Amino acid sequence: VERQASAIHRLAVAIVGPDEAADVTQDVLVLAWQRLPQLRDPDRESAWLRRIVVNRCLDRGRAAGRRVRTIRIALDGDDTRLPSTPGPGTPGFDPALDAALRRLPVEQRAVIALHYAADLALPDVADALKVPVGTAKSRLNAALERLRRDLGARP
Amino acid sequence: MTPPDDDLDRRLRDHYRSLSTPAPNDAIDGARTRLGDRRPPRAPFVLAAAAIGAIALVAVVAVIGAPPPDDLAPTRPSAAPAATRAGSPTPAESAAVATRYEAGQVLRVTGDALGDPIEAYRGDYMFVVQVAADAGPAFYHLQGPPQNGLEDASRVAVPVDLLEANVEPAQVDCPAPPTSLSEIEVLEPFRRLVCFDAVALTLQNVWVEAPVTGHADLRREPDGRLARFPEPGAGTLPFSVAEGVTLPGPGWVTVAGQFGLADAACGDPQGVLTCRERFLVDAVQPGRSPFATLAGSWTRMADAPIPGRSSYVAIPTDRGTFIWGGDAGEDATTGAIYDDVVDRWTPVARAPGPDRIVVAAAWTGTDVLIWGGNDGLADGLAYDPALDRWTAIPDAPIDGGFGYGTWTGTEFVVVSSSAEAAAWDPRASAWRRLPDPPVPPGHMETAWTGGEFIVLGIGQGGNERVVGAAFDPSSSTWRPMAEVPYDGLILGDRALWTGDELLFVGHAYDPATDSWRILKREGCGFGAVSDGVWSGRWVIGQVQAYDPQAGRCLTLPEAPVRPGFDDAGFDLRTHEFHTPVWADGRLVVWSGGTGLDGPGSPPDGVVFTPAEP
Repeated sequence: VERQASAIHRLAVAIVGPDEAADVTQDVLVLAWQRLPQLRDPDRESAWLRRIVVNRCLDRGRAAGRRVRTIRIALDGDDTRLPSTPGPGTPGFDPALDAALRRLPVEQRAVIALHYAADLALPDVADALKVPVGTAKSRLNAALERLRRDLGARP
Repeated sequence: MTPPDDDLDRRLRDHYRSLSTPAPNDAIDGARTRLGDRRPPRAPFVLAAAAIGAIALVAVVAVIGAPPPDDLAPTRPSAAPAATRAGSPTPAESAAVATRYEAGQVLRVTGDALGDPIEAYRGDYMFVVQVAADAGPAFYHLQGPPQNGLEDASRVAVPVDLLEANVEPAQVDCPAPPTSLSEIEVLEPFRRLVCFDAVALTLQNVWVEAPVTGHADLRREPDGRLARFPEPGAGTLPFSVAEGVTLPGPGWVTVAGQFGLADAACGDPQGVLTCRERFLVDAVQPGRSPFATLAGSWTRMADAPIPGRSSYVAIPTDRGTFIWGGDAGEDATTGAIYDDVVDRWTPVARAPGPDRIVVAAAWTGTDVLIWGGNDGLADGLAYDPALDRWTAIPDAPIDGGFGYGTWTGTEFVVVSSSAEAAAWDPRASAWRRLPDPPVPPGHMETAWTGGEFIVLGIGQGGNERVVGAAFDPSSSTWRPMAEVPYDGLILGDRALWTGDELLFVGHAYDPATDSWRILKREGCGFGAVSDGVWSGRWVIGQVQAYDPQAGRCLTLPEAPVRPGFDDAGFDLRTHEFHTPVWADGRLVVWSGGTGLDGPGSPPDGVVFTPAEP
C-alpha cells in the first residue's frame, strides 16, 4: 500500500486540494492497511484504493461545503514558509483554473480528477465512482461545461 | 467527448501535473501511528501531531427554532481553559513590522482585484487578524471575503505591500446577537469576530452526533464541527469544547460559549486564526428538537446468507423481497429472498450465466424477470420462486447494455442504455421490437404509472438536458414529455411514481397535463427528495421522509450504526448504493456500500417501520 501513497496523495490533492490531501492520504492508508486482507483480487488493488480515496474525499468535501479554508499565496517564490505546497509559482500551476476547480461541487471535482489527474479512461472512472459509464461520462461533461462557463465568465 | 479545439484538456493536465507531489511523510507516519506502529517517524514533522489524534465523530446541527428554555442555567466548567484575546500577535510572531493596519481592523478592497488566488474584488471586506514577519517577508493574516457561494470565507496571508496598496479601513454593521447556529452561519467569519468577539452567546437547538469531551486539539479538522441539520456538509461552523464540559450525544442541546478566544495551543498565526474562528462551548444544557419527525422504529435484519453487495436487484414478490445480482466483487449470481415479516432469508438457486449489474427487473406475479446488464448483455433470465428455478430468456432484438424495464401486466417492456426498446411476452416466449424511445442513449430513470412506462434519459456524453418519454403499451407508441427542468448538476436522480405524479429530484410531473411543477422542500436536505421509496404517503429514505402534498420533509429517527465498522470519521450508518424497497409497510435497506468501500460489504441491513401507515 505504501508504494501507492503518492498516487493516493496525488488523487486526493486533485479532488480536495493540498490542504486536505494529507489528512485524506493518512485516512486512506489506515483503511487500506486495515482492509487489505479483504482484497481478494490483488490486480484490483489500484482500483480499490481509488474508490477509497474518492469516497474519503467526497466525505470530506461534503462536510467541508462551507468550511473556511486557507489560501496561501507566494509571490515570485519568495514565501519560504510553505516550500512544499503546490500553488502559484509552481510550473504549470493555473490559478484561474485552480479557482474554478475549487468552485465545483466535490462530486464534479472527483470525476475530473479521476480522468485528468489519475489519467483514467471513462470505464475506470465509472468503476471508481461506482456508476455506469454513461453516468460518469455525463458527469464529466457537465463538470467540464461548468468549468468552461466559469472560466469564460471571470476575468 | 471534449471538443478537440478546446484547450481545457491541456490546461487540466498541465495543472494537475503541477500539483503532483509525493505523499507527505507525516501522512504515512501518522497512519502508522494510528495503526499502533510505534516506529519513529521517518522525517521530522510537527503538524502531523495534530492529525494523529482520535477523530471525534461530531456533527452538530442547529436551526432557528424553539425559544430558549427558561431554566437554562449553564454550569460553568470548574477549570476554564487559559484563553487570551488573540487580536494582538505574540512577540514571537511579530517582529516589529511597520504596517499601516493592525489586528482587529476591518478593511475594504479598493482595487479591482487583489490577486487571483485571493479572489477579493472591489468592495469586499477583510478582517486583520495578525501581522507576522517571522524570518521572511511580512504578511497580513486575514479573514478574506467569501470565495464563492459555498464557502464562508477564506483565510489568507497577504504580503504587506500588496494589501496596503489595495484596501482602505472600513466599518461593518452588526446584527443582534445570534441565538442559533443558523444565524451565525449567515455571517462572514470576520463579522462574527468584529461583532461578537468574546461576547457570551447562547445557541438553541444544537444536535450533537456523538459525545464530545474536553478542550481537544484545537487545530484538528474536522474534529468538533457544527453542521446544520439535516444537511451535513451544507453548513459548518468550527467549534471547540472547554475543559470540564461534555457535549452529550446523540441528542439536542443548548450551548453557551463565545468566539474570539485562543490560547497557546493554537500555534502560529494561521492556527490562532483557526482558534478564533471557533465557537468555544463552555456550558451545555439539554435541548429539544425543532424538527418534525416521522415516528417509527428501526430494527436490524438478520444477516443474509449471500455476500453483501451494491447496485443489486431488489423487488417485492409474494414471498418477500427478492435480492439478486449487482456488484459483489464475486458471487454476484447469488441471491436470496427476505421475508420482513419474520426476518428470515431464503437463498435462491445460483443463476446461470454471467454477473449482471444495472438490469431491467420486474415481478410478474409469478416470476422475476431480468434483462440486460453490463458488458452489453442482450439476454435475460426468469426466476420462479415457487420452484426455485431459473430459465433463460433469449437475446432481445435490440442492442444489449444496461437495462431498464417494467411489467405491464402482459409484457416485460425493456429499454436498453442504447435507447432501444423491446417487449418480452412470457406466455408466448417471444420478443417483439418496439419503437425506439425518443430519449438519448445512456443512463435512464424509469417508472410505471399503471398505464404508461415513463423513461427519463439522463444521457451520456453530452451536456444535454434530461429528456423524457412515456410508452403506452396499448398503442405501442412513445409520447415525448414536456422538458424536464433538471440541469443534471444535483446528484440523486431517482424517479418515483406516487400514484398521480412522477417525482424526480425536486420536481413533479403530471402526465394528465404533461407538465412539471417545482416541489416545495421545507425542512429538506440537499439531496433529491425523490431519493427513497414511495410508501403511499411519503418518500422515505434513510434520513428523511418527504411529503409531496405538504411539500416538507420529516426527519427519521437515527438508524442503527452498522456493527463492525467503528473506524472514526465515517458515517457508520451508510448503506450507499443499496436498492431501497418498500415491502409490507416497511422500508428495507440491505447491504450496499459501507462508506469505506471495497469488496467485503457486509450482508447486513435495517428495516424502518413508520408508526403510522
